[in-house]
Amino acid sequence: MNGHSRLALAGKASALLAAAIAMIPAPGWTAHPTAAGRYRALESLPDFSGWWVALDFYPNAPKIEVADRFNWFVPPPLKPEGLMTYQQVVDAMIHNRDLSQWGFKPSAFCRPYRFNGLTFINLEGEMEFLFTPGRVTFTDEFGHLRRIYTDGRSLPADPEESYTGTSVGHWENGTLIVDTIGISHEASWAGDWASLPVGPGARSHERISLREPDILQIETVVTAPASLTRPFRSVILLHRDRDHVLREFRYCTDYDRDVDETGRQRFDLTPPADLPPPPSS
Amino acid sequence: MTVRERRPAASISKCLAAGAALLWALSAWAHHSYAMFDTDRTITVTGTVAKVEWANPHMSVWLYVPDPKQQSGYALYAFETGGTNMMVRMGWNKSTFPTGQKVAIDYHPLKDGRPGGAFVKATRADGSHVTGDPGADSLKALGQQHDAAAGESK
Repeated sequence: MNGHSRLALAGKASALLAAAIAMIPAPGWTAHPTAAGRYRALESLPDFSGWWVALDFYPNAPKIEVADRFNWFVPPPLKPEGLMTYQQVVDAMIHNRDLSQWGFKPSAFCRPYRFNGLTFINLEGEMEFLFTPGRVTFTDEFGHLRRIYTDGRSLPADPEESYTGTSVGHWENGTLIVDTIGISHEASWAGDWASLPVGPGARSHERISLREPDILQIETVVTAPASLTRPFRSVILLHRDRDHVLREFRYCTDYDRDVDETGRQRFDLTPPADLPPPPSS
Repeated sequence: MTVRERRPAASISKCLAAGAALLWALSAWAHHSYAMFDTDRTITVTGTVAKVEWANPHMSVWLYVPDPKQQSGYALYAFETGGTNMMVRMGWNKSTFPTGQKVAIDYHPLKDGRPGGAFVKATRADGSHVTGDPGADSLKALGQQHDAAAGESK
């Protein structure tokens, strides 16, 4: 054995010894519990991986005719007063009028949107669906989280209200079926544009499935006895973007020049503190 | 100071043709209206990029525009566009507007006359273009479509 071989052998022996030492449990150490094969159950589920963006974002998106597809011009079946406000808000939006008069804007006060039962109005932007044993987690561009328990538990009888509600789900032939209660009564039918509350006692029933390999369909029926005259059925289509790298986005980590501390629209022209000086001519 | 103004009929018709952008603009991604900006007017100014605020919910491009009336010889303009995820999808990155680059920026001016507005498009010295968040024009196009449909139904 030459010098090089002896050196190589010594190197391998050292590596093996280090690995063996690393495996020796410290005093008091006990084996960590493992998922013990529970992740294997996920392999039979449909592939929801990647980021999902509104289908309409894509200029060459396929034209898909779906009954009850969500459209801001087709309002939820709101009670008369709410319907009038909804139509006024949408009209102001498309005519570039100030929305300040319609009240509370959660984002202006560093508060998250409230889930109103209809994913992609209040839980919005780019979305991601994460599978772990017994749970599916929805995330979105703004950092919201919806935790959908798929471990067989039932919905609690009377959960406290929360920003994203309390959800359970189960799978039926590749479709994730989600039921949600505990929806905040302040959740708005008009997103962050205006306050148009869902009211107490709202429920959401969602059926989420791959319509095509890269198109996800979310079919939702929301019942909200305090604000709707009948259940609201709506279908949302999302397009998969596997390669997108999400940029961090949270309201109030940065500065919104468009809304002041009272929620009113404006445009703040205060220059950044680190603005370089003008060019020397 | 170089300032040009024009009426935006052509850009609206382009937005109407690009139907995809319309629903996008009306999604909740537009978390407010564009009431601060005069979307009936598009102005062009030429200047030097001072800074890009890579920020959410809106990015801003700051521009030094030559102005002999100012003591420094420059007026400072601010142009707002979409948030970082939206603009990355439109092809922007942190080096899209290096500090010191000369550009001409088309924008919808602030209604109150202050120097700035909603970013529409930038043209670099080599003729290449960078477009901004189409929200303001798309919303306006939606409004025009809506009004036209309402007029026909009467």
